[in-house]
Amino acid sequence: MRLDHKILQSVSEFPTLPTVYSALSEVIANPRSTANDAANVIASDQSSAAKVLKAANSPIYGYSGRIDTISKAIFFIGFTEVQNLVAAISIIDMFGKSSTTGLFNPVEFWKHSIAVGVITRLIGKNSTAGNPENYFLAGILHDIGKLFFFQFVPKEFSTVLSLVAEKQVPIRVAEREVLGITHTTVGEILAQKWQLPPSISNSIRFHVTGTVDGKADTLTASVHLANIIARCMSLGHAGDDIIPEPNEMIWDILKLPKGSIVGMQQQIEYDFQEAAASILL
Amino acid sequence: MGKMITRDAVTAGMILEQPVINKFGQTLLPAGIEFNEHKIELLKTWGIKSVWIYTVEEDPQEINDEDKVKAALMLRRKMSWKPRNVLEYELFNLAFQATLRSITSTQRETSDAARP
Repeated sequence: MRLDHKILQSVSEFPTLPTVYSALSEVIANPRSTANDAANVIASDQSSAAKVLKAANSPIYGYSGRIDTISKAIFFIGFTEVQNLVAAISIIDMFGKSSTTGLFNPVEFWKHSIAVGVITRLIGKNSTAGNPENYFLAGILHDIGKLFFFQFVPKEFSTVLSLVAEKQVPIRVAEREVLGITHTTVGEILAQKWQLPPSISNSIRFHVTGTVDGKADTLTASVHLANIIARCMSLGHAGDDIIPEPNEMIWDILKLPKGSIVGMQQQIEYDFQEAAASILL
Repeated sequence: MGKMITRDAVTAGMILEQPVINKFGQTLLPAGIEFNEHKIELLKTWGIKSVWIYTVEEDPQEINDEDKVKAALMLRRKMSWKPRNVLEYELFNLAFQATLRSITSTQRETSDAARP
């Protein structure tokens, strides 16, 4: 069987998100549900509940230490962001933090992903986006396809990373050459399988180019820039050291004022350390 | 200039840059206080995991030209493009500073390890 077909088959057989996520989605979709109904669903999974509370109290949401119940988390940060935290925590648990192989270290990978999540949300707050809902999760999941390769075709993925390191080619070029499929495609399919919002699956597919098929999209542009900033600041490690060139269109899309990237630096460092400590522990 | 450090890294004599606040918004330790063993113990009691402390600006003389050249060469391997606008220069600066920090911290670790 061709390698890309084998990978696609593994994607189709990959588990859906845990019951707590689907049950929560049903509750949220029901207009008669209350915050308490959603809180009860999350509380049924104690491990998720504790991590949701920790993450909701991290500085990324700005309510440090003030959220001590799931109902309060829903009240302060909203149904969607609580649901997104459950998704992020479930996905990190599903993949685990297995040991390093060659150039790829899963813990460093998650640190990079969390950094991109934190930065995407900060960009969302500083740009034209207005409401940065979904930004944190979109950033965390932008490279999820790489982790999938690492778990299902580790030898071939190691060849991809060696090729990137030796020839300094973009990772997508090396993935196409070795695997016949890119991490952005696999990531998009996984996001669709998990029934995440289309804005998130789009940003996973297009974060490398920064636009959706050449069209402006604030979330995709934010993830694109966040990935570059995380790499510039050496926060975690995504498997290669390349700092990609930003798509020039993103500056028009995001309309960030001069000085805003340097201005975010301290906040990024603080939010990143706190978010990584609450989500990865 | 402030820097966030974990509670375990706090030592007596360090100065708090940002106040330590509890979940009710009450100030537990005001900015500007100097840490002593008692105050470090209090951080543990309150379950505070990290604090912002003042750091002395790094003396630019300490970073020699050789390190800057090394950082520029290392960065060129990672970053094959040139900044086209102010925000892209900001990205370049972030990357340059991070690379320089990694060089100086590696040197510091090496010299610490060589010390008897």
